Amino acid sequence: MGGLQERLGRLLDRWKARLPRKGRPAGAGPSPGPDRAGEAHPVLVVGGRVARRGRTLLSDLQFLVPRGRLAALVGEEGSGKTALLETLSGVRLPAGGRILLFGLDPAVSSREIRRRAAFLPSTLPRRPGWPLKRHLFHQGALCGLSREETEKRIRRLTLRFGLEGRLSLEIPSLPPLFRAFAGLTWALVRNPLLLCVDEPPLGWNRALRRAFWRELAGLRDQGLTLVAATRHPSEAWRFADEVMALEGGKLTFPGPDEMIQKGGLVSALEILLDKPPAILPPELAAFRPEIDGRTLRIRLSDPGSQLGDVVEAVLQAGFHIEDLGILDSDWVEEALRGESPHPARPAGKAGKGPGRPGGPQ
Amino acid sequence: MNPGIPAHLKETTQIVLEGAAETILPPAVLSLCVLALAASHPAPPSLEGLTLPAWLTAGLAAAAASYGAFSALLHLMEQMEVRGILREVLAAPLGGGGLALAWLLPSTLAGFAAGLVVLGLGGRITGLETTLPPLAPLLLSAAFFAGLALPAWLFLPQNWGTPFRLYILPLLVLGGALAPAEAWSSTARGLLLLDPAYQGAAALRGFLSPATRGIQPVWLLGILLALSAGFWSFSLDLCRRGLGLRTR
Repeated sequence: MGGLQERLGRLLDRWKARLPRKGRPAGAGPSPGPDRAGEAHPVLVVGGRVARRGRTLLSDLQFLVPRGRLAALVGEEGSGKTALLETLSGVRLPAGGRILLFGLDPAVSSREIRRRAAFLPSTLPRRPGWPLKRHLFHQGALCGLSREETEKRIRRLTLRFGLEGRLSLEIPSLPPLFRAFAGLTWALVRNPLLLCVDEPPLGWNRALRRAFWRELAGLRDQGLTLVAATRHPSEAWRFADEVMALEGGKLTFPGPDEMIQKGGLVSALEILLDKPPAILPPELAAFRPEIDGRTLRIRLSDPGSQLGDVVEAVLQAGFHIEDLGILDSDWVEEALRGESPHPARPAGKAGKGPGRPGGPQ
Repeated sequence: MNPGIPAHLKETTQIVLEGAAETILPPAVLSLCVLALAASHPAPPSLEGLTLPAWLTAGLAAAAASYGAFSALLHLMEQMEVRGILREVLAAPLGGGGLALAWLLPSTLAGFAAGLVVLGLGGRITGLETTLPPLAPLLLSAAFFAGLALPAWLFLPQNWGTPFRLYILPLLVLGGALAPAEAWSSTARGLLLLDPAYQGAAALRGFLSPATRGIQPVWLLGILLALSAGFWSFSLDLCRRGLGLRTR
């Protein structure tokens, strides 16, 4: 295992040297001035504090989200992602510090901020018997839109997300991805300038989450500013312009090495393999990743790479790549030596055994 | 008015009506049970110049209205939280005044309905002559307890909320409204002055029988109004500072 880690480390070092660093160094203060267009930044936080029920969740926050950028908030459950997103969308007042949204103070201009910012929760409000269309019209009414204007926006958004034929269905009956698109439509009916997106529900597989992130990136490309929460560092790193991590009540701006440490080997592979070939080390540029459900298949065009051999061996044995943590040293070493992985892996460590039905053979 | 308020008011009214069995019936049934016990008393004593059933009806109507309003608001807030509506509404560009209206109007009306149920059914008891009561004491009590309900709902843990709502609060409210002032010690009587349910009942008794010796001077009603306003201000301030939820 030591050899594999060393090789991976060397590859990462070389790769990192070529990759422009995202985000800002931890503790770096954001520039308080307006953007190039002379307008205030959608989000500017200097020394911000976020609390829930009187208990401080996050403190000393310093960051900036410029217009038209997609920022990702990475953190585990309970790290304060939702509370911070609520604060950025005007739902929750900051507990302290200086938080300016579109140049406005939420304590003074909360209503004006809520006209410009929207918050998309993990799950939409539950109203049994309400079809999607009624949800959307209700949201339009809450935001003071006329019925005609709401209808116009709904038509445009449903065309974009492929929801035209599903407006008469209840949200829980929609397929998961369309449920997510229904949520985006619900939030975008307000035509916000800033969209704060809470993390998708648990149980979403990688393909769904990625399709969702692609839509967020598409909205970013159309000029919308987004802040999205996730617990998957690799996705944040792949799709977002800025990556921020919440841990222990603090906000940091981790580089790829910290993200890989948090995410394990899967993140390492994803971060490395999903980058354009021009910035990949030659050893890894030959990989052809292919994602199918929860399985990452990699066809190796360069059979000489031992790292590729490991991955291929693991996948051909029928394991899902998510099962392979970087700490599973014994198992990886067996694969590295070309031996078959042990058939009876201890439950709870990697979670799954070999030869899983549906896995690549 | 923001056109979003009627849409939200429609939904809050619907939620309160859905919970009518929880918000209106319990105080009404509880009150009627007490009333029935008092009416079947072999020799009803005279309290503050009124027979026991008449004395009780006024107190129970006020208490039912207060408790109904309290319970309806708790039910409404709980359901809005559970269904994810509260966050949706707080994220919409709606004003605090409109939201307060949409939350309190259906809750207060539900409490008032509970009071009317008690009065309407209580009026059938032999020897008890009641007419429709003046609205002011009931609404005063209802508004006071609705104001009390908001911070209570926000700060009490959910596992405390249910026993508080179902057991402790009715005991406090009904206890204050039912007992005559003379029955309490001088210290407790001072506290009783601050109980709006008791004051609502006393005002109602004064309407039923002007000779009643209840505690009902006009200045006391003024104090209660100020107290209600103070509670509202206190509630909103707690929301803004403690929870960080917006209030503007």
